[in-house]
Amino acid sequence: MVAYFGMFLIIGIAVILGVMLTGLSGIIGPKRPQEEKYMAYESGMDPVGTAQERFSVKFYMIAMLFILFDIEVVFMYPWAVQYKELLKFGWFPFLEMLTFIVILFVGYIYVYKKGGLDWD
Amino acid sequence: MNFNPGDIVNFSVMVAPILFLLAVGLMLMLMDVLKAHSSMPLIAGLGLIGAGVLAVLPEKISSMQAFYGMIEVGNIAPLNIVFLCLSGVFTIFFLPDYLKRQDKPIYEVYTLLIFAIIGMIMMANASDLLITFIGLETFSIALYVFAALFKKEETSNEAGLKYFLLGAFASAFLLLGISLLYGLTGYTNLNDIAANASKLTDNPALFFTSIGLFIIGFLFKVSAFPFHNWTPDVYSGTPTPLAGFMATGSKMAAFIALGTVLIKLNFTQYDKLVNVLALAAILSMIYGNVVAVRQKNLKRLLAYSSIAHTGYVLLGLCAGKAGFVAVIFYMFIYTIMNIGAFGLVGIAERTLADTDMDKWKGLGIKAPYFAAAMSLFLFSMAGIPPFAGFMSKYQVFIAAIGSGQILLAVIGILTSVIAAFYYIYLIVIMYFGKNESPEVSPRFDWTTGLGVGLLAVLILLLGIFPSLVLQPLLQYMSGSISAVAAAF
Amino acid sequence: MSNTVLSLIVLLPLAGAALIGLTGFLNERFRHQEKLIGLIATSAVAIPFFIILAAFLQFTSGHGEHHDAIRFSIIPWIETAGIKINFSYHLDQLSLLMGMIVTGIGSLIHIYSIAYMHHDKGFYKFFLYLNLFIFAMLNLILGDNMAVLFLGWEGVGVCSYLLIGFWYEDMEKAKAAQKAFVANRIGDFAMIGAMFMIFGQVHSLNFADINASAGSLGDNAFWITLLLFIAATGKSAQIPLYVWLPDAMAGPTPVSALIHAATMVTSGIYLIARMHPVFNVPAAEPVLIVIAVVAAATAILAALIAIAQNDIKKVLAYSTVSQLGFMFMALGAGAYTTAIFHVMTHAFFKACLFLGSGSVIHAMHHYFDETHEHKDPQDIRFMGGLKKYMPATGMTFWISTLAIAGIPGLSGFFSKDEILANTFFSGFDHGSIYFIVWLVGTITACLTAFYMTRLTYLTFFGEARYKTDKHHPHESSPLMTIPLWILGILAVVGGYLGLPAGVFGHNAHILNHTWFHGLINNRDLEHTMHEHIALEYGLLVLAIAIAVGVVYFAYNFYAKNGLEGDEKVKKVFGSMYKWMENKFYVDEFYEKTILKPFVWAGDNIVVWFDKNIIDGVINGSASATAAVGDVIRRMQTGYVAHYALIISIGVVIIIGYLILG
Repeated sequence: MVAYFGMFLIIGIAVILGVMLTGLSGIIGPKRPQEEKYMAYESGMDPVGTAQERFSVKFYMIAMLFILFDIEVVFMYPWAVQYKELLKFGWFPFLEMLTFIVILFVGYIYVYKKGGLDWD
Repeated sequence: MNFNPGDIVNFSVMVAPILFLLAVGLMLMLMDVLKAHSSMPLIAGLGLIGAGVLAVLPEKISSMQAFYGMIEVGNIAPLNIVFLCLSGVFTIFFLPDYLKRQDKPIYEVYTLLIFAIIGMIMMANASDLLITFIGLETFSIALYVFAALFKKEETSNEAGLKYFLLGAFASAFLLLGISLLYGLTGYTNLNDIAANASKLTDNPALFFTSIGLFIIGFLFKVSAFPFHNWTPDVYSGTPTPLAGFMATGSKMAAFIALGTVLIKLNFTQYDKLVNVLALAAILSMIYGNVVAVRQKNLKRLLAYSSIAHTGYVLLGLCAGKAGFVAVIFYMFIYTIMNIGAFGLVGIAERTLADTDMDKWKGLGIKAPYFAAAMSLFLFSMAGIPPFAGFMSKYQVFIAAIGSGQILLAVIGILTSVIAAFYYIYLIVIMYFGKNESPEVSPRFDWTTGLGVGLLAVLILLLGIFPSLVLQPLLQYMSGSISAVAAAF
Repeated sequence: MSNTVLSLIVLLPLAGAALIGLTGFLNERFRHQEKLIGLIATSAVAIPFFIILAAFLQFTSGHGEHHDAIRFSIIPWIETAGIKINFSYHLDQLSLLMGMIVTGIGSLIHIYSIAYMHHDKGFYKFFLYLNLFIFAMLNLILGDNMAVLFLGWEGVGVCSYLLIGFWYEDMEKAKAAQKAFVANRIGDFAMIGAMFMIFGQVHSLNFADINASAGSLGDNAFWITLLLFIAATGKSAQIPLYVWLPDAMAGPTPVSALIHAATMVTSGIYLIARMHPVFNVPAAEPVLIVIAVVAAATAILAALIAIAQNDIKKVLAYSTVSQLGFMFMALGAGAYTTAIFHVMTHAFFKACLFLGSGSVIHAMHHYFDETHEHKDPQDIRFMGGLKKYMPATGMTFWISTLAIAGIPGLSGFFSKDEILANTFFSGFDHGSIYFIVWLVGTITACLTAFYMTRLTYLTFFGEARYKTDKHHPHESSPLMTIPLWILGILAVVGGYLGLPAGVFGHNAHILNHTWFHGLINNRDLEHTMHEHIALEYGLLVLAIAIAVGVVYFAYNFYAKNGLEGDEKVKKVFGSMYKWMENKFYVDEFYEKTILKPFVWAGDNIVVWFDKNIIDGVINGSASATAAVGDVIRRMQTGYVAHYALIISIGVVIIIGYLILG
């Protein structure tokens, strides 16, 4: 059990944080109700309806870009966790990650300049 | 294995051409958004040539893998890089002019072209089936975008969607084949699989299923019968020079990859596998050539002819190790003449407002250089000496006969008579057809002129001196054949 | 002679073509300097002729000694693991003789063409193609391996194709060129097949190796020789592939003389003579009979057609097909040297006849231009009495006609008699079918004498069938008549190289007994001939009687009846004449039986496939049309699903076969 203590701690903190944040904003936040705000997805999607409905391709763009950049972070976690261990190889691990980030960054500039992040 | 940064540095040097192309691709992306459009074709072309030079710069090395057995960098691999890069270079000659004529300033093509070639190189030179698959998907995605490049045009949309759906379908078979091979042997590395060949035949049904699915995945990519039916629709919807690239570069990479894997598995000892390939070859040659006879649309005609050419290459592949040089040689020659033919159709397309064959009537007199160049490519595709197309067919037939596939060679020879008919028919139309309505005739600008000139010279040069390509191929190859032999 | 000098034989025509082509391409003014172009082109062929002549003299010096072939090579060509082929050539007795014919007659025709093509807008292109043709032809006859021969084989085809369509204003000429091309392709693929089979057996394409190991081919020799013969029928216009040659007359007349009479069309005969050891293998004996029968059929068919033609070039064209038939009859009888002998004599008189006809057409063309008449300058019904205005052309044409008809003392007599004698005597030992071949050949010889005399009479003798009050046709320039005279003289004396051995003794036949001795081994008939020496005298007398009798008869017949004579001929042949006039409807037959079904299959099967299998349930629109409106419909109705279905079926079949098969 002791071995899993950290895990239970994280679950606990997550639950407390979640309940606390939503609860607090519900209690002290200002309330200006609108129809859209009561919908399941606030971004304007109608959650009930036919499956063949057409909706904007922009959702896919955003979703795809999100996944793309989100997945990259997954590669960085293990690297960051192991970084101390990797230090015995000198600057090499750092340069490796730097290269990775530079490639990502070029992609980011490309997306940004092409207007991939603009909604309109 | 012990991790060592020195290894990574060494490996990076080994795959320098790929890394270089990656850098060029990223640079092109930046140039695109920074509006430095005009020099993008030049940078892309120089980048590809640079990668080719980097590939052959090191001393010739015998079989050696980078990244712990993932990718082959010795043997024939450097030449594969050169050939694939050249297919890109040839295409670039025709792209700027075509996009300008079509009034579509789409500059992503150059970036995508570079990334597609990276994918092709990875697939062709892979020594691990996972890399094969990743490479295949990398260039396939670029090709899907090529097909759908003109997103406002229905034909282009149709082409893109069809290619994507069917391509995904076929990829699934390929992936299933790879998984089953992994299941049988516990490896995805080709050399490991080859070393554990005994495990493969423990369960013959599963073995044949896995390798069969693997072959099917590639037969789709090279548009062999019966997996050919997307070809005419996709090629006729794809922007013309890119269709030329699709029909050559990707097929060359797929043939090299398929050939490498099959030869490593020593497939000629399984008659059934040879029979499947032989049957696909026969049917592709017959179907492609017969249907092409009645085509009036040039892009569809070239599409069907490309199915037929696939048949000829498969014929060489049936010969196993001995035919592999012929396969690569054939694909390289086909690359030269097909990109040339598609390029010329692309030039004429806008001027004549159509790709209909009848529009080409009388071009022999109105645009003599244009018609002469087209005739040269067509003669070569028909396999008439002294053009290179003859030499490539000759090599393939010799290989097939050498391995005892006499029937295949005979059918190949007979179907190429039919092929001669429709290629010559277009020449007859150009030179002897009466042109009713005088229109503007297609002209070269300096890039297309240079490209066509270069390709035409190559066709003639390699037709007379095929050794210029065959000799290096044999020299580079000689290592790999003995290496394969040693693996068993 | 050094390798360099010998290389010039092949390289000079290529250099000439390159020089004319490049300069003409770059420099507009050069294209009109006709004399310069003519000089370059002619010397590019004449110099090789003199080099070959020198080699020839070297061969003839030293009496009766055996000379090895002179070999030279230019560059290596294909060197891969399995095969090594070089651009290497050899000059032996056979290729020397052919080389002299090609470059000698080639030079004369180059000179002739300078005048004939005067003021043509494609002047430089014409000479460029002619030089290229000579280059290709020299590769064909001098190459010491099948690959180089094949390169030349294809090259002459391409040049012929270019020159037939040289005046490409109308679709007719274009179709002629395409027909020539397709017919030749069929022959070419037989050739490739033969090459592959030979390579599979001998592992070499060198003639020396192939001929040396001919004996080891066994039963394969049957297929190899059959394929080689099919290849030869394409290039040398035999049944069933002869139809392209008469249509090829659409090209300029010097081309007809050079390519379609003297040189290219005889390459099939050269090929068989070159590879005769393979034909001498016992397994190939049936093929020789096939050759003889096909040749006899071709000879008589073409001769019958020639009787009913009125176009001067068409008559000569069918006459060429018929004479080529004679050459193949000789090959079929195993008398290879005899065939080559006839190639040589035929080259002399037929080139002379064609050039003469060119001179006539040239004159008539100018005449009709002057009188503003719109008549066909090639139609002999508008000619007659031309001897008066064109003495040189008329004289040489008449000599050559007598030569081809087989009048004793002229070249055609010796070669044709030798062919008929060889077929006849083959009948004793090699199957009595040769007697029938001989009979058909003899009848053809009668027909030949008849239609050639008719042609000459209607063109040059009798009354003029055009007005001569103000204008009349003129003799051509010396540039055209000098080559005619040279060829005319050769047509007279060329036969003395091969006097009949049976009559004049063993050594009289210079070609067989001195020149080709040890190189070409004919099927041995000497013994049979000796046994029936009286018969040989009989045949000789018969040949003389036929030639003299028929020429005498035909001359008087047309002198008495004029053009009306044709009506009487028509009565003699009855309903067959209509068939002869229409070339036995062979073209129509081919169109209906070969082209039509092919097109029908293309139209119906493929469209059916498209409609029912590919388009499937959709409204049946053929996918080939791909109209834009269609595209949307197709996308919405799951066209792709059909494709996926076909792919799935393919997968099931393949995997099923692999697991269960």
